[in-house]
Amino acid sequence: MSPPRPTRLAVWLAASALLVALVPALLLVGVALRDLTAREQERAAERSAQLARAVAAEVGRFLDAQIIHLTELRISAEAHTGSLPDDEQLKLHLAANPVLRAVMLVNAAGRVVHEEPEDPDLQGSDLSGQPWLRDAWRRGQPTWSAATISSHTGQPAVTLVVPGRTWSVVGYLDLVALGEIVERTRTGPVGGVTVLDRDGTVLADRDRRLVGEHASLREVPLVKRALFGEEGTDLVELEGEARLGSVATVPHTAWVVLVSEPTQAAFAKLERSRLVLLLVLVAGLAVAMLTARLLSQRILRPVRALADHARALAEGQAVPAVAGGTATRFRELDELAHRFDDMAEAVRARERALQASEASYRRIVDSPLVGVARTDRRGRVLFANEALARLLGEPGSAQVVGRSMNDYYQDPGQRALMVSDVLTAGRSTNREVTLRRADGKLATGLLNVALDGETLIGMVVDITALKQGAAERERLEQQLERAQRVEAVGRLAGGVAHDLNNVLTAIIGFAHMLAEAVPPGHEERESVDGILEAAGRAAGLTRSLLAFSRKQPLQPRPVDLRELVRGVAGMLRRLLGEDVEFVLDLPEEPLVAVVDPARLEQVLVNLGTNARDAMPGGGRLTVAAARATLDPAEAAGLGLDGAGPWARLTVRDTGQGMSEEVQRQAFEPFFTTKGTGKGTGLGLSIVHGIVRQHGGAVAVESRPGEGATFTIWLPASEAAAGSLAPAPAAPLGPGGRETVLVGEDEEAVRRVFTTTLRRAGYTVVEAQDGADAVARFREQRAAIDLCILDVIMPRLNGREALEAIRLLKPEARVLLVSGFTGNVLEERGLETESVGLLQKPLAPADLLRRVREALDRP
Amino acid sequence: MPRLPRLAWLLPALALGACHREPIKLGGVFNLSGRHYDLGVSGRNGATLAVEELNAAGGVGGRRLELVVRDDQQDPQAARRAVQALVDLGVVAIVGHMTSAMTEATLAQANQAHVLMVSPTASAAKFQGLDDWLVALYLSTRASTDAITEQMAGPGKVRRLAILQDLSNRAFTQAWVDGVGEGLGRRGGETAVFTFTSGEARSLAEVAGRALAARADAVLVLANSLDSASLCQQIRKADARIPIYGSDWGFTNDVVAHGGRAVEGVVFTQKVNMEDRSPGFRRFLEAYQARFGRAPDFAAALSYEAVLLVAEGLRRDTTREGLRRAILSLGSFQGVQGRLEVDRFGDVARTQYLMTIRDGRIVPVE
Repeated sequence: MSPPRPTRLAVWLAASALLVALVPALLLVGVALRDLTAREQERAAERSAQLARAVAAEVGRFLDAQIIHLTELRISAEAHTGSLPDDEQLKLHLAANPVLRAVMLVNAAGRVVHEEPEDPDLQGSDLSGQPWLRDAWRRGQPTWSAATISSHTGQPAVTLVVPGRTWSVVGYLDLVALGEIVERTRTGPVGGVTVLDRDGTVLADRDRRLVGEHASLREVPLVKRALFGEEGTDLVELEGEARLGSVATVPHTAWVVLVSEPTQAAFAKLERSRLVLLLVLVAGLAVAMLTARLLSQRILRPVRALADHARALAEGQAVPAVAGGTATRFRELDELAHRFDDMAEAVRARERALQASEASYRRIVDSPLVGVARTDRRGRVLFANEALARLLGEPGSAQVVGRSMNDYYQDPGQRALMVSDVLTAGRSTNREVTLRRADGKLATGLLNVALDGETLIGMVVDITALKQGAAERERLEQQLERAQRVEAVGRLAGGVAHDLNNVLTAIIGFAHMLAEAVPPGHEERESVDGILEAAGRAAGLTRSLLAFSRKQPLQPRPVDLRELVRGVAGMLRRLLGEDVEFVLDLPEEPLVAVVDPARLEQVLVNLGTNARDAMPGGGRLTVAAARATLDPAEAAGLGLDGAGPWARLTVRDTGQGMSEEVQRQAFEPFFTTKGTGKGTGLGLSIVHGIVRQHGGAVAVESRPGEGATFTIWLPASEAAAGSLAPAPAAPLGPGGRETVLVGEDEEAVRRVFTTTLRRAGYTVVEAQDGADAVARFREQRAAIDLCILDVIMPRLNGREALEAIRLLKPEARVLLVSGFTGNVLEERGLETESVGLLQKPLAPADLLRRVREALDRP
Repeated sequence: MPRLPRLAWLLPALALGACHREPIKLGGVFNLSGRHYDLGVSGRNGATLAVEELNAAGGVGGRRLELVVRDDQQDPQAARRAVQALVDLGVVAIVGHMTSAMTEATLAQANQAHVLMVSPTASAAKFQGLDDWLVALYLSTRASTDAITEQMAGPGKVRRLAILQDLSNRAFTQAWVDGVGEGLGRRGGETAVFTFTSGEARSLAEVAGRALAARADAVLVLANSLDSASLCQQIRKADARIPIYGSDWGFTNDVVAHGGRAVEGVVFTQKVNMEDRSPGFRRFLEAYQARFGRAPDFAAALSYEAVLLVAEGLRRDTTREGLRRAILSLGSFQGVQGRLEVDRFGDVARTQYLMTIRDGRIVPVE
């Protein structure tokens, strides 16, 4: 139900003023009207009654005159003893009185003894049956007959009897005179005077027809009462018209005079007075209304001005002070104006503060960082800022307003849950939500929803990038951790391998020497061979360790990876067996990378072996190669330096796959999922080491039961690929006569080298460390043809020693020997081609062959 | 003003009801101002009383009756104008005229307009047995003349009858002259007719003198009440003993007042027993007295009865044709003195009363 509409003040004021004026006025007018009506009605009634009485009196006088007249005649008749005055006298009587049409002298028996004018029909007639004669005799007084309407004249006629003891005089009277009386009566144009006989029949009326037709007014109640002798005044209805009527009875007869006037005419004066009163009232009201209006305007003008000012103020317009401009007559209104100005000033001040606050909040709300929305409880957006629009991928906030926030949730249930939380808990909650942007992408937001009256205010921060960054960082950290772990293990393995290689070099060297001393077939020869075999296996192990720890010297050159893959394909097919389908996916264009082909072959074989073991029930192995680019972030994520381009090798199997845990440890040395004795746990470590040594990266993608994909990224090269065919081996000279400097801090190893070289005919200059080696070379630089320098030595290491020797003799031939790789050299940017590398452990034959090659090199 | 709309729907219904209550107009044509006005005024009064009583009882079929009265002035031309005016006003029927002469003057008009005229007192034999638009409540003169000649044949048998005939209502008086002449003739008697015209005769004494000069056994007065009274006076002045007979037309209450002792012993016919004191008739007498301040005469009673008959017909049909059919097929209806038979020609059979005046009162002949 709507509240009642408030009344307008102007209306109320006017109405009040009117009421104040109206109520007394109406009361006054009402009282006056009542009095006036009563008085006027009384007056009209009195006037009417007076008139009726006057007419009745006149009729009575008229009838009295007739009685006197006939009485004179009777007296005269009695004087003349039974005769009327002589005819002449009677004729004069009749002539003098036109009313008297006939006069008769009746004897005591009721017979007409004399009549004038003469009428043979009447002469001697018996009138004793006439009720009027009987009445007159009985009463002994002049008596009137019932009036009749003469069929001769159409006018009323009546018989008057003046009885006497012997003679009675009967007069036949024409009542035309009644009509004259009626006509004479001044009643106004619409007034009526009617004379009625004793049964209500009309004897005289202005309307002659009523007389002629013997009309009866007996049914008119006023008349009926009058016929029973009751005079009075009342409202009557005559021929359908309401009239004010008065009745009076005529003396001597039971006749009635009815005077009537249409009420309209009878009360005309009253109506006029009423009209005047009404006009006065209306005029008074008009004046009152005018006054009320003026009054209300006077009061309302300043109020309206205030209202206008208030409206202007509300609309934010500049509002001048009210009080100064509109001084009124009313102290209260002036006071109000002053207060209004105070209020306006306060409002302005508050508005400014509000604007400042609003601006401040606006800046907050308009923050590009936080999306803000106000929605109704169903999620319809009532307000949204630009940040939210950006977050939702909409061109502007206008496109968001009016829509349902549910449209933007990947799972609207998230919103329902939050709203439900807010409504039940009554406080804001924070939650991470996934929003679907207009472009279909998903965005992650941190959303805070709070209840604000009937609406909800949501604030959301786009944390998509943050989330991605965090994930990326976690991944990188894991990768780094893994790399560091692998690195550490590698360093450890390298160190072990280096020391072990020294030991193995000695063992193998001495074992070979022993083997030469023990002829084949000798019973001790088997033991020596056993030592050599075990030492060989140990050497393989250390090589693997070195490969993994990237301490294995590389011999890189530009290679077309397609050829490399094709070359190893046959071996892989054999390795995989019948159950595994082998698929190659190679580009048509050459894909060149600078690699050590042997090492890379080892990588592919290791991966193939790994795949085979993952597909015990058969499957498919796909080896693909392609040229690829990586964006810097991806490259960084993989631990790759440089911008590419990259050669990508992919080895994909359909095997049992790996869990994340397994993937994390897959490249760690000695980690294996295979049963004891089935693998060394070095396969993938070696892959990792080799690829990293080539400046590349390896990654694995797998899920349990869905196979695994190993991807290798290598720096692609624009150089032309060389042949993959191995360089022909130089003829193995058994020895030579040249002088060889052996710089080796490990005495056992130095002894093996020197012994082997001397036995093969070389002159050996021994040095115990790098500095010693440089000193010996300076001493005998002309004699020394070749320097064999251990890379790791006290005082000066192999590299430093090499540099020193090269300073002394730039063309000096040098073979570096190391349990590690040739990194030391590479880091210095030395051309490894100019320096031979020997990797421990080293069999004597190998040493001799490499020394011969170095010496024989042009 | 919440009441107005709720009442508003009633307005059409009220209008409809008002339409429904449109009064039925009934014409009345009486002689009110010409000669013989006494019958006319009585007729008007009787009809007026009947209409007022019917309306007071709820009207006819829920509709009021409205009596529209016109004065025929006992003048054929005025009568024709009056009837035409009533026909034009759309009256359903006309009560009147009170005399046969006027009825004769306008019956053709009524037949043409198909408006039923119900005459309380027109009694000329010539209207009997006709398929016309007249219903005559008054038995024709024949029954009256038969009754009066029967009486004449009694003790003091009348052999020679002087008849005083007013030619101003010739349709009636001639029927009487013929009827009485025929009745007396059958019994070997004879009649001598002395005519005059009411209002034109210089002296009724002279008329009466001529009749008495014929040495008749009895005199029959066929005139209105005033003339009848006057003629009786003239006859008695000359001959105190000769039997006087009269017609129901002339011998009303007025004749007693005007005739005095001269009318004592006059024998005349009446079709309404004014001495009837049965409750129904007494109620009528009282109502009439109260309403008009005087006693009714037979004309008033018959006029009252005429309206009752029309009302009976209107209860069955309110169209002009339907009303005629209804009345002609009524068979009988409740009159002012018991049930009356209406035949298919609209002629009403009623009892004849032979009355005389004794000590100034009208009483049945013993």
